[in-house]
Amino acid sequence: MNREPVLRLEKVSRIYRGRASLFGGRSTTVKALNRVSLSLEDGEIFGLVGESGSGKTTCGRLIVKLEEPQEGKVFLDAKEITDLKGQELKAYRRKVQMIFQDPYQSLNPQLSIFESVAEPLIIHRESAGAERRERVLSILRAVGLAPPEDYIQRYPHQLSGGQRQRVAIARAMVLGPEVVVADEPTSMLDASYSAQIYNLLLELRDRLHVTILFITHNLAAAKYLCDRIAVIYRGTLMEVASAEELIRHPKHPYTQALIDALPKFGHCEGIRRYDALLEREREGSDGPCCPFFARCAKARLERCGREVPPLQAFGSDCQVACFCVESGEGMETEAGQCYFGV
Amino acid sequence: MALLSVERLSVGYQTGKGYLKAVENVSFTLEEGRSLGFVGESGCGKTTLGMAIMGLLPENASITSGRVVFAGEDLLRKSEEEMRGIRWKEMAMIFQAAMNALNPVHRVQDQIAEAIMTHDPQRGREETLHRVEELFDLVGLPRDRMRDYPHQYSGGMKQRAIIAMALSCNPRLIIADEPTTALDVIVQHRILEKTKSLQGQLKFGMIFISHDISVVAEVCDDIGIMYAGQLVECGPIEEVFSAPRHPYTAALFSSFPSLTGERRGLNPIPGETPNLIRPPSGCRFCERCPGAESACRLESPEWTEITPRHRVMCPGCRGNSPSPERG
Repeated sequence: MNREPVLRLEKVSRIYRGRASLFGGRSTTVKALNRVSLSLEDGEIFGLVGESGSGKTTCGRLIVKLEEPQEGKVFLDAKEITDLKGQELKAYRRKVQMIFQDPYQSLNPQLSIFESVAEPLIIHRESAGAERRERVLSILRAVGLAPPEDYIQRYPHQLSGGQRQRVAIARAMVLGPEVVVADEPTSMLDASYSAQIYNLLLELRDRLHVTILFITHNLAAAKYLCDRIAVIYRGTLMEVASAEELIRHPKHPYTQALIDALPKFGHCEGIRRYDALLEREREGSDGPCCPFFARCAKARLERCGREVPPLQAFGSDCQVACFCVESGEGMETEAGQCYFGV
Repeated sequence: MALLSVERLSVGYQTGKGYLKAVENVSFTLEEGRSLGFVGESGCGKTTLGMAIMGLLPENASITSGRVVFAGEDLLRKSEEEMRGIRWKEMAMIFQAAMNALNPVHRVQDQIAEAIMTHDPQRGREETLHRVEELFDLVGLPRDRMRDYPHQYSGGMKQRAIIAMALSCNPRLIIADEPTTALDVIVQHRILEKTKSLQGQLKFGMIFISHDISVVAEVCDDIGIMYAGQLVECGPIEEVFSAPRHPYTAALFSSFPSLTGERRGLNPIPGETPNLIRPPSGCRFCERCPGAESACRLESPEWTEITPRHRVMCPGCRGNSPSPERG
């Protein structure tokens, strides 16, 4: 694998301002993303894991330019893309595509499967006639809708959820993008279809050499698919590490709490619990503090409640934003074989 | 005596495209104080099964055969009036998307009080609110939030309030339909732990419906696997997990990614679920089954008993060795 970053986010922030309420409530601001920096390396599947409202979808939408950051810069192939307009923006969209969460809503019900998949080619004026048809057929074959002739005349309502998501993937892949943002592509699907989609993404990555940002709330799925995983909490990156390292030796207390919370079954008797989550939340401090401070059982009151821990390199392929890890507390664990679910 | 026994229950829906057999020939028993989890993919009939037991099926549904025996009485022979007396008092349900089950314009305490007073009109308001306080303690909600409205609660708190409401009349049976599906993992974990400890404490029987095997494994004693309207395997959790006998059970297990251990390939189930308006003859899984034989397509499979508590509906299982042990 080439280790050049394809896509890079540099201290990107996105703030949503709520309007003051009709009854005179104060307007609120929500920091959906707070100075997030990350880079996707060429040909990797990068997992962004977090709970609802953590900013993971916002991050994906910023990358495909459905939203603009208030601060920070986004680079594709070392070229800044924050202020792209017109033809340049169109060219960018050709290189960066998105797979949405809900295949029941992301496909136009009035377009046949052929029209849906050919639409990106038409918009970008790529190929025509028989050649266009051949490109659509071959991408449908690649996403496992074979023989494609059986599908091209159908409409989305005639397909199952899993098949629809395959069509959505074909639509994202047909232009041969460099980067694809997959936003919870399986959260609407059953387990057996989800597994099919995971395997398909792995296969397409190898075959089409595309870099994928996989956004999910499911750590087990991220572990299965991704080379590296970033854990995000309240718009702030807490930990970035290789998938193996993050699951086996989670360093941030929040990552540990997530792993503790996963339903476990199997030979889990010897499994270590981290107990990183407070039973009752403590009073948060008003000033700057660690985003996880209020719930963290390992926080040190003097420091964690007054300063925001920066994301710091820890070992070769790992970054953690936590003062407790900095001081090098032993966090070793050996996990047994367990089954984890969605 | 079993708390609940369902015998050869079949339920169908009249739809625009024809008669859809949503649940067919499902039989199981639930002992007092035990919990049974039903797992399956969407459309397998697990929610219909729960609704049929509660007597809450929609208009276009009909029960074509079978019995639902609850504490010795056949519920299907009860009038709507009689069912209303049993529902909530004897058996309660925690619905899917329970967070939307609370009325937004009433205080949480009043909604729970209403459930209690409907079934026990003699009880005074003072006494009822005292009971609500007890319930709040029980499910781990702070008492000072009793007078709040639902929108002031987080998702996890709403779910706790719904559980408090389900427990309000001390039911003997609780049917929980995907109670944690919309919640984040950390909240889900706390709710599941609470549910499990409450069950141990109050000794109610529980039917737990979920699409997520690991959630069922966490809270239940027994597991039932449903596929295309049929119950295909049923038994104690440990036994089913360590040696799944039905090919669908094994396939479903290997569709879930594992967090620890080696990164192994997932084996998704090929193909699609069958159309339940015109279900295939013979075994419903045979189209997607790796070990299907020609006989599977012809005759409907019968139950095979593996151990007294573990049974499976697969003709191929007779005399076969179990699937390779997982772990």
